[in-house]
Amino acid sequence: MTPNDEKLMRILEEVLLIDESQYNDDYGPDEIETWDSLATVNIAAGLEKEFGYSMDPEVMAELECIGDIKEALKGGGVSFQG
Amino acid sequence: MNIAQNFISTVHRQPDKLFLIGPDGSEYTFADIYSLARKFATLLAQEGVVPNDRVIITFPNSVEYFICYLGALFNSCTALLVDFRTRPQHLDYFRTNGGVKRWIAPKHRPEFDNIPGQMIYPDNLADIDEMPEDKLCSVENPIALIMYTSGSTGVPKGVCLGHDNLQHTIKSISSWANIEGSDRELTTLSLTHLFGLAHVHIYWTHGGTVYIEEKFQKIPQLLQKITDLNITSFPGTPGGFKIILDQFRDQFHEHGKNLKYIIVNSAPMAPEYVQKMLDTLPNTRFYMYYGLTEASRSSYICYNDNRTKLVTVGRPTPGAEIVIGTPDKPLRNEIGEILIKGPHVTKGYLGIDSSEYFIDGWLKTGDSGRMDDDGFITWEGRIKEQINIDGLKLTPMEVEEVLMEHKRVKDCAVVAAPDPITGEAVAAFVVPEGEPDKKLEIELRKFCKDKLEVYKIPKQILFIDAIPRTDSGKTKRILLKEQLSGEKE
Repeated sequence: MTPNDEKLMRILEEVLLIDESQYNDDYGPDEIETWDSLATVNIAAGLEKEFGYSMDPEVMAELECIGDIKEALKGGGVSFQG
Repeated sequence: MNIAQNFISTVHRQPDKLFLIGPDGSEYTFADIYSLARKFATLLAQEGVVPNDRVIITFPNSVEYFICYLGALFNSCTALLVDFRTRPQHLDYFRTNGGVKRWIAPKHRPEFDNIPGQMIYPDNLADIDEMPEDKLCSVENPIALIMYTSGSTGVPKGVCLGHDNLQHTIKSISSWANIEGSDRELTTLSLTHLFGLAHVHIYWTHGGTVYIEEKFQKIPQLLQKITDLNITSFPGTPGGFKIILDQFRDQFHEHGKNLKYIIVNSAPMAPEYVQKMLDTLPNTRFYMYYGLTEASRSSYICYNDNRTKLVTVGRPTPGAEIVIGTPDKPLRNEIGEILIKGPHVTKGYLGIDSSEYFIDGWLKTGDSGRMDDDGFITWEGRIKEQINIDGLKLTPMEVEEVLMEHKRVKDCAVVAAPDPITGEAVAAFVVPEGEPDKKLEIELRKFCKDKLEVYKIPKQILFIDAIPRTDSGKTKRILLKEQLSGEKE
């Protein structure tokens, strides 16, 4: 896991209460029952605090899985490469 | 009269009218649902369910949920509607407390395997015969629904609602909101709760169409659906509309301009957001109503017509009576408990002496309020210890009991913390065993996640040295709440 993965994992653990085993790019609201629209707002707040990345509401609304969050962060210049 | 009879009357009047659009876009006419629900009624009978039996229906928002629900009502059963997110131990409590014969779920879930009486919704109803029309709703059963609410002691209470209660509510809402057969509603509300469900009762009575979404998510697409499906009604919670008004106001203005009405319920809405809603959709009638499961839709207001009353929840609905304080000497312009009477009020709680919850036939709501000289009611807060998370309610004790099971919790107390979106959120004060840290906070929240419904999980956990209590051992929650506001500053 890269340092930014760990950072993102910590945000998701705090908001969604997931374990590392659920930190999977394909996992989204269907797999993680704590992930609803309010949780998405809280994830966005966490990304802003930890990565300095301000997520556009339109992007926020399109998030379907953890992989989408990473893609959005990559677009904001955050690297997930080891 | 059984509320499913309303549905049958509509089927006979307009069988080919579109009734439901499922989350996957599949469309069902009244005749389609009628046929499927009659088949399901037969299936229930084959499973040994007879009139006046109680069955739990625990589904997410879906077409199948309504097939089960109507099937149960056709069978003259009492339906216990349980949120699909309910934890196994709570479902089992509802099953035993409710004297339930079968509980019906859409799919197999291993963690529920040990609960007796499970019935999984079948893949296919094709080979099952429709229950004959003369057998539908053929036995008198005064109780249509039982819905569990958080009790003041932390033990959920089953609220019994009769067909007559629900018929009154249908009539009442239809009259003041002017809902017609040509209306089309988009709902994201959980339909195992009365706010959303009562709307569907109205639509099946008048012959309208309901588009069901499983969750409140993907808001831009949701708003697009308002245009694409010619939606005229969009009920929701204050928290949901706050997100829309803060983040998607332009899209809402664009797609919502043909909405006939918006109805908000479940929790208070800040006046600035009421105003924002009126400004965003000036041609849409914007209603708020106040009630509780025990007395749904007790007061209402149309804010478009009452712009000086934005802080209020309106006046009593037709047939409902509301007084503040005591029935003999009701208060005006003073704060007291809200008391409600009327044909919509519950017949009582399942299996317990309900007399302490009533005074001379008036339901004691546990809410405090004030009535002004024009009869408008302002909701002021709660007398009962209850937390309201955008309409989903719980008592502090439910969470405290779970936290106390954790080996590192010596003592704890739970209070409502103000939340900018949901109005309130759960905050837990914990006296820890050993030195606390962030890891323990997350561990405790995860511990709650395994035992409680998601909305009951504390959003924040604060570690303190001792829980303030009175000499008699009662938690001084006001002091803890003050501590929370101190933290914010």
